[in-house]
Amino acid sequence: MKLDTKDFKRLQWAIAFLIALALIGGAAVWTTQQLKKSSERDFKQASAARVDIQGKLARAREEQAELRDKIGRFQALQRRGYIGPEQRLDWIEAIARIKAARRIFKLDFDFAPQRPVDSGILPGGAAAGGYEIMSSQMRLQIQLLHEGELLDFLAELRDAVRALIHIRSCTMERIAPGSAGRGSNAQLKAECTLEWITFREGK
Amino acid sequence: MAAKRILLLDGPLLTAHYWSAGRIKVEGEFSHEPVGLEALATYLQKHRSSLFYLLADIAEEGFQLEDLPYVQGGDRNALLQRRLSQYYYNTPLSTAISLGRATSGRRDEKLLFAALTRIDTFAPWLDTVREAEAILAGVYSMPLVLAGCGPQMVGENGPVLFISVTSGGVRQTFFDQGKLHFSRLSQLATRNLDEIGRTCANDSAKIFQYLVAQRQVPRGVALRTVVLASPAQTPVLQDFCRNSGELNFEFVDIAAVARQLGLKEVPVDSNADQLFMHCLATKTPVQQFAPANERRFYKLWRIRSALTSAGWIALAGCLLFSGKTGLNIYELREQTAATQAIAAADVQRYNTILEGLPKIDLTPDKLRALIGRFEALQKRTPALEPLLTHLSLALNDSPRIELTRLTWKIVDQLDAGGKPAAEPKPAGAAAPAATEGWVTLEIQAQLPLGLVTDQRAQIDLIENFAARLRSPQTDVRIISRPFDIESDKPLKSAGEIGELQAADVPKFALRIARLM
Repeated sequence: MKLDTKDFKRLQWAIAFLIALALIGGAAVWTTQQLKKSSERDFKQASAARVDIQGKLARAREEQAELRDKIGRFQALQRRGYIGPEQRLDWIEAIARIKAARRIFKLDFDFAPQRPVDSGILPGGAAAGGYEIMSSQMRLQIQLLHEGELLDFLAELRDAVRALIHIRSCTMERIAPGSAGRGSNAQLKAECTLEWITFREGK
Repeated sequence: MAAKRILLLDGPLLTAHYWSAGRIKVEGEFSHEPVGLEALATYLQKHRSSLFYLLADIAEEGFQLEDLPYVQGGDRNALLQRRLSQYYYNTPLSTAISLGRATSGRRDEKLLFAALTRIDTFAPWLDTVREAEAILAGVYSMPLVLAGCGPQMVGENGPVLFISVTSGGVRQTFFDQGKLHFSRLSQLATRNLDEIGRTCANDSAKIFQYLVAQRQVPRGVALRTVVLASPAQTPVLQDFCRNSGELNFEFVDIAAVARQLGLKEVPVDSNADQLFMHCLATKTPVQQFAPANERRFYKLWRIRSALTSAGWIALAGCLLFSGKTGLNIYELREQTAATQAIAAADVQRYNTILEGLPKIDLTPDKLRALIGRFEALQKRTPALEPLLTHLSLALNDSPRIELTRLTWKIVDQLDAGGKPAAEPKPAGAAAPAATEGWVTLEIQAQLPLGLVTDQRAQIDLIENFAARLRSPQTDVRIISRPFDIESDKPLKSAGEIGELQAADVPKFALRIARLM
């Protein structure tokens, strides 16, 4: 039997029905496949998390010791005042106190505004476990009797202030006889760039 | 499934029956007058989604038995069509029924050519059905229906004459080995039981004679004759149908057969119309009489059914697959939940272990990161002392060298400018990592004025000083000398001792560096 146009018209609803059911079936298959993929992804994540925590658990004792050590170091940083806002007033008071105590002939400095540390100080950026490593650059000009005095000054400064002192550069030069200031018998002038580093809590 | 409706034609009237699950209900009776045909058209329109079976129970039938060479495919169709047109040239309502192949000789195929010989009886009905676009499954006759369900009643052994009573009259149907060979309808005038009994007996005897003449039954052997009758009417019929040397009568309970075949409402008398219509609906014969053009809508219906079935099958397949995938998803989610529960328990245990630690506001990972960064920072925060001490010790061995300027600084990479270092790199500083950096000390110094004319002594002093500074950890590079001795640079004489000024003092510069 050959089908003509009229016959196809008579069959159109059956064809449409077939297509509709096939589409519904296809949609069901597609949807469940998507759900399956999502479930597989969730399962992989859960498995990875489980493997991770099992690994942690296996080395928990070692980790406990490691964390205890790190917590101790963190608390030491807190005590040293490295963590928290800058105490610039304390800093300049400490500098003045050391200057007076050591009878330094001449000491000039200026601080630049605080900024996150650059790669010159620490490659890899300023982020550090929820904290941001900040730095205030200080230019220091000082006149001394000898280079040992500079080293002592810097060592005392490190102990006195609540910041990590990072020396970026330091130039020492003999002072030509007679060019030191009046009443000064300084033999050496030094010009240093220091970074005063603190850890600021991340936002 | 489409509803099945049977149009029973047993004379001038056509009766419509609705068959459903073993129950048969009369829905209308139509005459072949225009009014009746119009009513039939309306009825067909009303039930245009039903399958219609036209069942003829009339006397105008033809049966021809013939053995033909066994052929297949198109040749067989052509041969059968040719034979049908030869036997029944005046009717398109004909068909060929295969009765099987002979077991010996050429193994010819035995064929029964059957037809409804009087097309005029059917023409008005078929025209009406066609115009109404009703789905005509086929045109059947009572013998065709009996060919399907008769063997169940009479068995499949030997020749049997089967007698049944329908609205059309008394029908004698001859089976051999369960295959239909011949059928004849004897019409009744009064339809009373005596007439039925008399007709059964008389016509059976005539049929026997005919079959003997046709050599379809052997002479001298009584023919098994099965009468389908109601038990209530059987005694009367038995009075007429007495066994003889020619006929051996058996009576089959029509009600028992009806029940056996699944008819819900068993016949109350011997009329087997409903039983045969039930047979037609449940075991529709493969053969029927209608030509292809009369069954056009039936074929379209079959295509529609196939498309619809394919749709359902596709949907069912997809849903089954989705169901299987759904089960997988369920299992995966169960596994995920179980894994998460185990991980959560492990986290709990881990946290319990860590709870003994001092409390801080940082997670372990953040703490590690913070301390790691601090350590990296400390590593990159070297003190001035090591290089200055190293220089100081070297100066002790070279008292004639006087420092003028020192520059200590941290650099990422050593400056390769100026004169290339002829000296080997320190072992520990062969390949500095990009992130490590260097601590450098640039030394500017001068030599005693007295050496100004002794260039070799100057060079020796500087080289010795550089050699003293050099160590496995310390890289040393002479940046400048009091004078240049390379061939590609100018060289001039030094003045006389007496003429020398303080500015002429020999100066040089070198750089020492260590990895951080």
